[in-house]
Amino acid sequence: MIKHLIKLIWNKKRSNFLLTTEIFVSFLVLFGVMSLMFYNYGNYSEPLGYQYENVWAVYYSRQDAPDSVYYPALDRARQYLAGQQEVEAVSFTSYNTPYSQTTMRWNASYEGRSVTSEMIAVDEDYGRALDIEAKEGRWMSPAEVATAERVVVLNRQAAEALFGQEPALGKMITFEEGGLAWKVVGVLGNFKLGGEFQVPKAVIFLNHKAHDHRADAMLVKVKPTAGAAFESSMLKELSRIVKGANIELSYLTGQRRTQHAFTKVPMILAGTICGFLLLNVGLGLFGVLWFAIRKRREEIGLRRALGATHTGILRHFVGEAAVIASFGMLVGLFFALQLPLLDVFGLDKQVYFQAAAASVLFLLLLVVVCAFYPSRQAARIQPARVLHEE
Amino acid sequence: MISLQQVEKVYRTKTVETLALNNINLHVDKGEFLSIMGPSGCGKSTLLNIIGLLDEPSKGEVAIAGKPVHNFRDKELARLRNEKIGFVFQSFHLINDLSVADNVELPLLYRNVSARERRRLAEEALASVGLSNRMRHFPGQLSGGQKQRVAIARAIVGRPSILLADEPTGNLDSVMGNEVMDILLGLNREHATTIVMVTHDEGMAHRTNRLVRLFDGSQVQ
Ligand SMILES: Nc1ncnc2c1ncn2[C@@H]1O[C@H](COP(=O)(O)OP(=O)(O)OP(=O)(O)O)[C@@H](O)[C@H]1O
Ligand SMILES: [Mg+2]
Repeated sequence: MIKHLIKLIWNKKRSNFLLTTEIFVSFLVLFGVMSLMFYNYGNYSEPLGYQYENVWAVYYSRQDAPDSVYYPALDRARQYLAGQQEVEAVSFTSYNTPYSQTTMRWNASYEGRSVTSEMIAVDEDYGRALDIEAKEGRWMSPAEVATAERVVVLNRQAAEALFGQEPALGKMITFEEGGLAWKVVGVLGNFKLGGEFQVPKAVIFLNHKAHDHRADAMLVKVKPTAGAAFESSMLKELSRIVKGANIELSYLTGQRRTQHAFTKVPMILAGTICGFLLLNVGLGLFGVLWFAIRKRREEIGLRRALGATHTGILRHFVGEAAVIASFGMLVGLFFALQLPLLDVFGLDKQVYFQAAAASVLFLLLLVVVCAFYPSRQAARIQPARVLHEE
Repeated sequence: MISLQQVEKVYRTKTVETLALNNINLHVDKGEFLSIMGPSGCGKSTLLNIIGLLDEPSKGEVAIAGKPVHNFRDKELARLRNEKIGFVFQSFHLINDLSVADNVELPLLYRNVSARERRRLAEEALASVGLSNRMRHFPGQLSGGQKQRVAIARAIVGRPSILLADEPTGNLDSVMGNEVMDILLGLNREHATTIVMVTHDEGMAHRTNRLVRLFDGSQVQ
């Protein structure tokens, strides 16, 4: 029967060309949108690696205070925060806080291997502020921070890039040719600085006291009950303590929303356009089939007279639509599969295969749904009546 | 082979009610060649459609090969149409987008027959109507007589025991009409196919075993 359908469609290729082209184009668009969605979803389903709820980021920006005044003041500010009842943990950090859209990337190396990695200068309480456990080893200790030892904590991606399968703990890494060596004391899992939709990348946390520039931002993990009153008294106190610097506060949850909008807006836009296109294709398909079936009443009556059942006719027309759609999708697949073959965007190939499979299934479903009603009408045609009409 | 008892057919539209067939009692034996005549609109096509299970009578009983069909389901009716009955229509009803051979194969598509066997049977049927050399043509490239011969090949490809022909020569000139008539007579003689044929042509009617005349939905002879 399939062979018969293909023959019938092939013989009418000119009138089926438009429909095939339409399916081809919608396949490509759907494939694009699906790839984007699967890509984002794949990243989203990778663990984020930290807790952002109830974490506030405080950024100081120095105006004119000299180091000798500024740094002790920062330490006092941290002490003040650590002593507050509403604060659960506080840690110094460089400006590249989670969701902040700020990055600082360096090249780290170990015995000829190197990786470009996000560098975050932190203190001993960073793990507590963001609720991150070390998978191996530990976070840097208060003593190491106090004595400005060159210690680092790596996330999984950084450790794998530098050491492969070898154990990371105790290894010494450098950040520049002939530079000072830093000792690895801990390894974490994922740490997606840019948020849920980011591809997990290498991140290295280093002791900010051992770094040329001390960190002058802080992450403050507060109790859920900490409200606006605490926030304003805290800010007042923080600016009183550190003179000669501006202060700015934002919630990680707020920054997260902004960051997500960057990912979601294009996705929603593409999805909406794609949705309209598919609606259009669906309606077009419906109309074309409706019209085709009206034109083919005689053929339907004839097939019934020759032994086709109700369901046989229904299957015939749904099948015809599905075969036409498959032609369009086959051509579409040919183009779509060039992406993983040529590796144009460097994405995981899995994404393309998933997107292609999802697009095929979706379009087939759409076609079958749109073809069903006209085909059922066709099945109901009374053979005696249509064979009578001339 | 075919048995109709007190068959009545009423067509109802919003405004009028047409009594297309009125109390028809008809028995056709196996191997008989029957012709039906009557003025236009007297119910000939309606009668043929009812025999061919394309339409249901409003009243009365239809039996094919000894089996009453009134409570058959769609699937059983379709099967009976496919295996026992062949149709030849006045206006050919060939599918223009299929080649001659594919058109002839159509009834076999609704049975379990392999593609190769379908092709073989189609070739055989086309040979028996003298069209072996037109297999790959499309209906648009054939003359009227050739089209009707393709339609006959399609009607007989499944070896039905009953052939129903609604004015098979009506659209043909007398030479072609006679050719088609010869083929039908041959089938009746060689394969004992039961044939019911509607015709307007007295000459054709007289070449068959029996003639039934209809007038205004009633049997008059
Ligand atoms: N589907 C229908 N709805 C309403 N009336 C119909 C329908 N089909 C046929 N009729 C009527 O039934 C009567 C018999 O029609 P039928 O087609 O059987 O005539 P016929 O003898 O085959 O005529 P012709 O020689 O012109 O083909 C006619 O009066 C016709 O108008
Ligand atoms: Mg008629």
